[in-house]
Amino acid sequence: MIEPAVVSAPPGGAGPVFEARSLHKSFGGVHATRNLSLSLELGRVHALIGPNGAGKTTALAQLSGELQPDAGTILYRGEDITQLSMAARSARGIARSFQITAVFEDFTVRDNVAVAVQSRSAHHFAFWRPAAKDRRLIEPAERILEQVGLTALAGQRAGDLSHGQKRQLEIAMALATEPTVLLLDEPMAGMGRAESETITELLEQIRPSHAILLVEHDMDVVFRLADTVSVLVGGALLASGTPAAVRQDAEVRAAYLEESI
Amino acid sequence: MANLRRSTLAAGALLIVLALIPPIAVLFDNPFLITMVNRALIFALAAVALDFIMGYGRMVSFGHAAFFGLGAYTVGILSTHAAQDLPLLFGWAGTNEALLSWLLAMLVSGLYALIVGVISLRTSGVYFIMITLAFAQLVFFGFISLSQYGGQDGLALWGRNTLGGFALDDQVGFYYLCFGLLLAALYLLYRIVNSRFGRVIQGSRQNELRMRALGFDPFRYRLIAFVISGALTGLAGALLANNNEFVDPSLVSWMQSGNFLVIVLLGGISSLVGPIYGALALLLMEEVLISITEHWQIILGPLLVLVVLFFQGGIYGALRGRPS
Repeated sequence: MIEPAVVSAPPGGAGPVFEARSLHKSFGGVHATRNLSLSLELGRVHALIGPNGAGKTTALAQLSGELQPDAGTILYRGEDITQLSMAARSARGIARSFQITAVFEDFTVRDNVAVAVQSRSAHHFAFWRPAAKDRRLIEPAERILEQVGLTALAGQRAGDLSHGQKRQLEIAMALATEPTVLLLDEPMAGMGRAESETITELLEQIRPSHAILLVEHDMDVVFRLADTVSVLVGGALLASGTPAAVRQDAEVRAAYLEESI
Repeated sequence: MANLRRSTLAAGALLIVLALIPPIAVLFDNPFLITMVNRALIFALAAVALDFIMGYGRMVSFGHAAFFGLGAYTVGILSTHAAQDLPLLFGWAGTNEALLSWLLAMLVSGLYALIVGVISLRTSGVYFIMITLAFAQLVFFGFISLSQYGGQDGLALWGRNTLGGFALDDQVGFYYLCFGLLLAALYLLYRIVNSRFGRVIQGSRQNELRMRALGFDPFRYRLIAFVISGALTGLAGALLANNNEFVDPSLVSWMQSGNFLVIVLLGGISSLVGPIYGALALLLMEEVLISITEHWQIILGPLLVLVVLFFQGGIYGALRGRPS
């Protein structure tokens, strides 16, 4: 049985598909997330920026289910998913990429993506047929590899890729789970200019059918892609608005942009 | 590619040699050779099953002797009852039929693996090692206190099982039966490792967090793999009970669990076929070294250290050559 991608119809209005309300998280005495609220809409890119240690990755870990917030609610299409595990959120269409590259080093590039494709199929408990010859895994995997520009490296061991190539693979794997919501943790970090350009174009291309949260340091990319920019400082939102508004915000400039650009 | 071919050639040669052992033994009038290699085949079956979860899923079980012993005792107890016509359960007096007896051995080991797995697979690393060891020790002391089945002294079988009415007393026939079962297990596990299911097991070994982010819950996959491994090790135990016509608690001792780990490491982890080299090498070394000194483990110990230090892929890795 071939299971076609379950493409849920976009919700009626242009309301948020994914929403975080008043998240709090502390580790011992450190408040890593304070009263964080943000929302993602289909067709829109929401960038989350901030200095190192601002709590961006911690926030993303709560949104993806790796960490439980101490307080607050996370909603997906109106459903409260705060208590759901990372695996359950992924199954609902919320994918993340990792800041620290997390690919399966011993698998080939193609097999890395094939495993991600497999996560969308109901046939994990197939014990007999070789997965490496399974066209239902390989064909979608190769399509995605072409999108992210890794076709030439499909047969290579993932552990042998350059850092930038692993970042591309990371995104390919997130895409292969056919997500609606993409939580991307510094996807361009460590990429060369050409690779970064490929991924930026890819994000432009998939934007209409996805709701994307982009944690990114590269301000060129942020201001080119984002519809909304939120600035996180000390675990709390300092400002949130259109790129132009945030760029003009005096506080933001003082806290972050001036020193980083 | 050349490396791959070398290891395949070596494995092919190994299997041919194993298939030719009985005629060679007859030719040189040395029946002891069959008995010795037969023992190695049985240990190899258990070690291949261990390599399946240890090499591909990084589940380092230090309690595989429990599966081995449970399989062996299942056969021993069933055949004792059958021989004496003593009711065992609900008036049923056991069986001496291999098909039923060995299947039950696998079932008992598999069920035990399910219980141990549900508890131990919540942990990993050192904790997993210790929990599997602790459970195996429980089984060990359980058999020691089973006085109606010989307790510490063990239980002598009245004879080997019968297979479809035929006795398994013929050593050559029994040898080929064990060899065939080893090949079947090897093929089964090879298919599983490369299937979709195996991909999840291997992916969870490499990066569990990533696997969860993709929507997989590694626990269920590991549990199933653990049960498969336990059941196959139970089958090996059933074969050993027939081979020795005797079972005793030493089959379940932690040293036996250690033996299986040594065989996997010596033969080559994550290779499935490696443990066959390992089992042959370990039992051969035992034979040779024991003729030099009764404290043969003094020599074996340092030898193992050297293998682990210099041949991380074990014998399999050395035969394959360095990966390019």
